[in-house]
Amino acid sequence: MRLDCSFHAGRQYDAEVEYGSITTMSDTMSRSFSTRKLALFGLLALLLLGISLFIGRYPEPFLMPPRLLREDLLAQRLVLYLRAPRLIVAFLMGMALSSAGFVMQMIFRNPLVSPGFLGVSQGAAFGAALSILLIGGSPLLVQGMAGAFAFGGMLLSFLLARNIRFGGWHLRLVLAGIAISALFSSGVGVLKYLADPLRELPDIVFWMLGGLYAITWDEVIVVSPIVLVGLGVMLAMRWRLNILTLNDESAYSLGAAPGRERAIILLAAVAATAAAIAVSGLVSWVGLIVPHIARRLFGADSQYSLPASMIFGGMFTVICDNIARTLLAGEIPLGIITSLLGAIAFALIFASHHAAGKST
Amino acid sequence: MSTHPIISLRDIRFQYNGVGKPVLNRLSLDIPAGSVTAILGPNGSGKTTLLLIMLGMLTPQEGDVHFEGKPSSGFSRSALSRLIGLVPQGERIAFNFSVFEYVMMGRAPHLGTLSTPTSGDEHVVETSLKQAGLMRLRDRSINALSSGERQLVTIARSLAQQPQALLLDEPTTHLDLHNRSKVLDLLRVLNQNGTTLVVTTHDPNAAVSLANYIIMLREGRLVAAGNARDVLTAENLTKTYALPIQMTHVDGRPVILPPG
Repeated sequence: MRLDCSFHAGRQYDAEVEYGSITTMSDTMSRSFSTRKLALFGLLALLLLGISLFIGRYPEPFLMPPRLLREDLLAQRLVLYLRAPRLIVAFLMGMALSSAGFVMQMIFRNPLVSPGFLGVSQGAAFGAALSILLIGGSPLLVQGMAGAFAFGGMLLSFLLARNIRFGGWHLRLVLAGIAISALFSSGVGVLKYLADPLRELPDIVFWMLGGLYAITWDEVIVVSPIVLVGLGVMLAMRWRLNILTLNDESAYSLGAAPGRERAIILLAAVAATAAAIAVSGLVSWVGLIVPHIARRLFGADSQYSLPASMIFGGMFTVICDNIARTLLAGEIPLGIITSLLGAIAFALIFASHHAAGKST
Repeated sequence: MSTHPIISLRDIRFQYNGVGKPVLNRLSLDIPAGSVTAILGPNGSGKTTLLLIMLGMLTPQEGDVHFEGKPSSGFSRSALSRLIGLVPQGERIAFNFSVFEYVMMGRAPHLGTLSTPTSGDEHVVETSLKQAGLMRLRDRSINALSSGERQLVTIARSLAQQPQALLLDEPTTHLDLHNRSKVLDLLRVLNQNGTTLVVTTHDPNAAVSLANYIIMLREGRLVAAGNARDVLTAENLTKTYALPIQMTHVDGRPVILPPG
């Protein structure tokens, strides 16, 4: 299938949403300052990952004394086989979701777009539910089906968008994504209705709330290549992405092949998202809120705000997962924590005094 | 300097999506290097379409497009964008890029798809901002500017792009007299430095003050084309706009008077 995202010639009719309230930050910083700031946040992320190895409920809730690593065989195995892979997947997943959300918001010029909206999230949910209901709930099967249907959702969205007969491709793809998501969402509804309320239904609901409780090194090996390639493509095109937010005529006149380049970045974003969702379940709000935080701190230029979005997304998800696995004796679904903290962060950022901004 | 016209169109016919009434029909013209060409015509006469064909973005169903004597298929995307730039009309920018960040986008043709700007590019951007008199707006959000400032910033982006030829779609529309004259002054400087300009306009008086070649379009066909002095007559303008148009001279400059 040929993924072509160029407009038909002439004017476009995309869903227009202005970014009126977000200010440019460059008046307080130069490009080299941005680079140093990024490096600082990178170090903070590494520090967070290191500390998180010692956070958990063994031997007691919250912090494990580091000396146990030398003395306690169980502590060693816990850190090596459970916490380490889980932290890696949490960080990768946060990077994937937040950078995918970031590039989609830019390419669709819409601040309300989140990474799963092209049929990806609901497709994954349908695949997981189908697996739990029909094939069996073994983690590997559920993950495989979720990943396959996440991609299927995206492909269907693209196919439908190509056959919609009006509007520019922004609008067509957004509409197709909404329609395909609704289709899979109703499918999930049917599967829930058919599911055994004592055995299967809780599994489906729990999967849809998201969580990293089942992560081992196997998942790291399966997920990280796809996620890393997707992240790599997005990172490599981080400055180019600015050009791709312009009108087609402008992007073309600056030497871009806007349709093809947008399709490449979207594919990278969706691949990373699908791989992450497949093992984590639906973890919402990371891909929606983190890009806004990154843009507020680093400005609109995606050369800096995209890597920032990746780092913040990884840190946000690791922090949320630390809470999910530590706060209560039973695991709290990760999606609940990310939504809760995400919504609070959103309110704090956009309702704050500063948010009125100096853009005028 | 090349002896070939920088842009050359031969017997162009163009329809959107290949169907319906041709927007441009049997159109031939040459844009000589170093010239300023104004394209005049009423709304819907095909001016913007013509500009997008000259940009290489639209491919006509019939006819040939040559750049510097070579067929358009002989150019890579980045090579063509170093040759021909565009100042689009009323571009909507969805993100709050600073003026500096936006003008930096003009450097894209000189950077690879996977590259980021260097200090050399930063220097070109600073120079372009100075040339356009925009240094004081350097760190302002582009969406916080007036439409006149926006137009100057878009032209500054083209200064940073450094193309051989620059296509401008209605560069003076919606501008007050002060900003209009600022834009025209900047375009004159650009042309004196060797850049070929092609300007579509609703404003015949702007065309008169700027251009040495004039192209008049009506319903996708040439009404007249040639040296401004020869082509710019009340008769041709009347044919182009289907309105009785008069011309007079003030201080030796032709002035166009629409009826009413």
